[in-house]
Amino acid sequence: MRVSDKQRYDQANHRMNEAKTENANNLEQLSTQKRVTRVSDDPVAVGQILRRRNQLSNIDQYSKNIEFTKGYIDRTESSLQGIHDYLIRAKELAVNLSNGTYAQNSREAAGLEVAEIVQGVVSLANSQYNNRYVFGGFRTQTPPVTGDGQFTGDDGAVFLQVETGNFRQINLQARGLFEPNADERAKGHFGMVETLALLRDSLKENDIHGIRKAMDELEFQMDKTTSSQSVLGATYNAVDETSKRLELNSELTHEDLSRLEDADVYKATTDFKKSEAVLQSTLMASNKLLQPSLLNFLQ
Amino acid sequence: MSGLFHSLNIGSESLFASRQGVDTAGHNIANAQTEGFSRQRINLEARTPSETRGVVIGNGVFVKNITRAHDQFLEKQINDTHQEAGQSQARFDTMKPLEAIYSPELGNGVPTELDKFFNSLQDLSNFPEELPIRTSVKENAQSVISAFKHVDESLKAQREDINNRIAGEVSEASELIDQIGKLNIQIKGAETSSSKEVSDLLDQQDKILRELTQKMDISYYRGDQNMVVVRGPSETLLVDRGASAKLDVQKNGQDGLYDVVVQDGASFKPTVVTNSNKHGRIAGMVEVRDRVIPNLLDSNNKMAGSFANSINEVHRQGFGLKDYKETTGRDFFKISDDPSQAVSSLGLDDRIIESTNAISVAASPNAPGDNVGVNNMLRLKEQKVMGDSTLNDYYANYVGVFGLDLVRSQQTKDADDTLIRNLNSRRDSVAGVSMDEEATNLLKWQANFTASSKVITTVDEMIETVLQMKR
Repeated sequence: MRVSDKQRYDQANHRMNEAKTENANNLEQLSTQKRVTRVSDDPVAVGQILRRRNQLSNIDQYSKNIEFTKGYIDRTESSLQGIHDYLIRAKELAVNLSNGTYAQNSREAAGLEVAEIVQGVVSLANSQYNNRYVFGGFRTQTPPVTGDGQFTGDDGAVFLQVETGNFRQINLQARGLFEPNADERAKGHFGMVETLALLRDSLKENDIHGIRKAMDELEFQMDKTTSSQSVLGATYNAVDETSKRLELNSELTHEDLSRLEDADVYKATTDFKKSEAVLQSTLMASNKLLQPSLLNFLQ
Repeated sequence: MSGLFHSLNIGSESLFASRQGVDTAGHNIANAQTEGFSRQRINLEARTPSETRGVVIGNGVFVKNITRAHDQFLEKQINDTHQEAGQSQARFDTMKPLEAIYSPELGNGVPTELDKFFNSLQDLSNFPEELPIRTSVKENAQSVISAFKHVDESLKAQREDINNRIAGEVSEASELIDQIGKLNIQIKGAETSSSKEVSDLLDQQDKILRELTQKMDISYYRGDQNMVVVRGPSETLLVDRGASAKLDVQKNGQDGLYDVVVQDGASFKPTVVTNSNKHGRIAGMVEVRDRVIPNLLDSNNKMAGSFANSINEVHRQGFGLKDYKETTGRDFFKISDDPSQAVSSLGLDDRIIESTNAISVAASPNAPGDNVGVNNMLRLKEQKVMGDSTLNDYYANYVGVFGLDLVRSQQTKDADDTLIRNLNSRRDSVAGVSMDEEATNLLKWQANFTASSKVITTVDEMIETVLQMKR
């Protein structure tokens, strides 16, 4: 084959360019530590990378939601526990003082204690978490229970997302806790504060019959708080499980993402070394190749 | 009659031929790096012999012509390939900048901003009554709008840029067409006057033809007196003898983008060839301008439209805070009904700009803690609001399709480059200058020259001898 000078120069040029491009690409991978920095690097992986990043950011957000949910439930539960403790104390007093052996002044003294309990229960019923009344349903900015036991909240159920497609109710719909429903009222049941008020008034008025009635009714109210507590407990455990699952999920997704977009450092380093060697040898060969021609030997 | 002067003549012809040989070698060396130059060969021929006194005597040498080493079939193949290569190169070059708009390393892309927006909605779901969180929802919605608009505006700017580049290419092509016509006239003049091949002019014209084939879809042949006839797309006659058409752009009525028009007042009526021009750089650019970019704009509009409208739908059912706590029916985003204007018209509803209390996410009136609407919005993230895919999947899909297109276009370009390189190498193998060869030629002609001058000095001495015979 006839080889013209232009062919040799063009070829040398082309080889040098190719070696330089390869070298620059390897250098970029090494310095960014990423396999995919542009859409065209791997168009299929780009979709997967975006999806994984999205999942990770979701998981972060869900974890935040779960922390908030746990705090919210903790506060609700401790308020409920407080209310329950008050009810137990009230029932103790009712049981003791329904006994005919106590004198009237003992009952009056107990009546004062029950009055404190009424206030305590109302104040716990108006507990707040992050400036929100936890028992108020959606009416989070106004106290849901008035001094005389009226429930002024609504039946709003607050849901939070704790997982893809999974919304959890974090609040207790408290109307049933503080107010008897129509059915219960028909059976002669009272509201919670109403019951305590009955006890307080019966004690003050030395009305043993009233005290006994309040005593039975307190039993009914305590059942309600206990069942509410178990509902909350179940939610708490479920959310806790979810959070463990999310953590595991987050680890797996991180691994996935890294596999998709990170450069294999060992491979990138050897590739870089290789391309550097190729570049150097091309430069050396070109230098030798381009010099001689017959003209150099003519006198 | 043949005498000593005849011999002197043979010597001087030989001297002249040798000098021509050195000249040709020199010309070749001088043009070794000239683009499109074909190495030239001097063709010598022995003069017709004459008969003197019954003996046939040689009459020396003459330079028959100087031809170029040229393979016209290879040239044709190179030009066809250049057409493909020009197209794939232009297509790749104009598509490549678009990927920066979508590259995942950029933190402010549409999916990132959507993500942040939905996360701020999650916070709003936690604290539906809190002002700072409502403000962050509003800010994040603004960022989503900006992200959509950034894509829209960047794409449009690229389209404008390509449009201007098309105009540039067209005016260059027009200039080339003009030069081909002018060279036709020169070639015709040279051919008739000397009946010799005018290698350098043909080389020049071939080079211009090659540049033109890179730009657009043409076919050509050498006709009468080596003049070239060039046809363009839609059977337009671009060059015929000395006459050449003009290539121009004119604004297209619909979108103000350029159409490519062949026109020449005298011989051809104006023809729009924007779409019938299938090959070359201009075709590659037109394809990106008229197909690739509009598709991307369309996808971006669709996504923004579906996103904004689905959020609006939920938002219209919701109650706000304070002044807005008892009314519904408000939009969250302001958006045009025309789907092609979705992104350019996208904005926040005026009431929300005025007060974040207008963000309406409560399913019941007077319920500041009601987050039912927020949760419904959050569900949109996983719903197939794009018909058969979620927002994020739609984005990943359309960007992925674009990426594959770009990769394919790079592969085509690389393949064409390799082909061109091979063909060029073959062409250079035939037509390129080899220094070694020319050096040998120089030696050869120098030796020839020296020998020829020896002939002359010998004849000169002979004449001297003859003249001294009579003293």
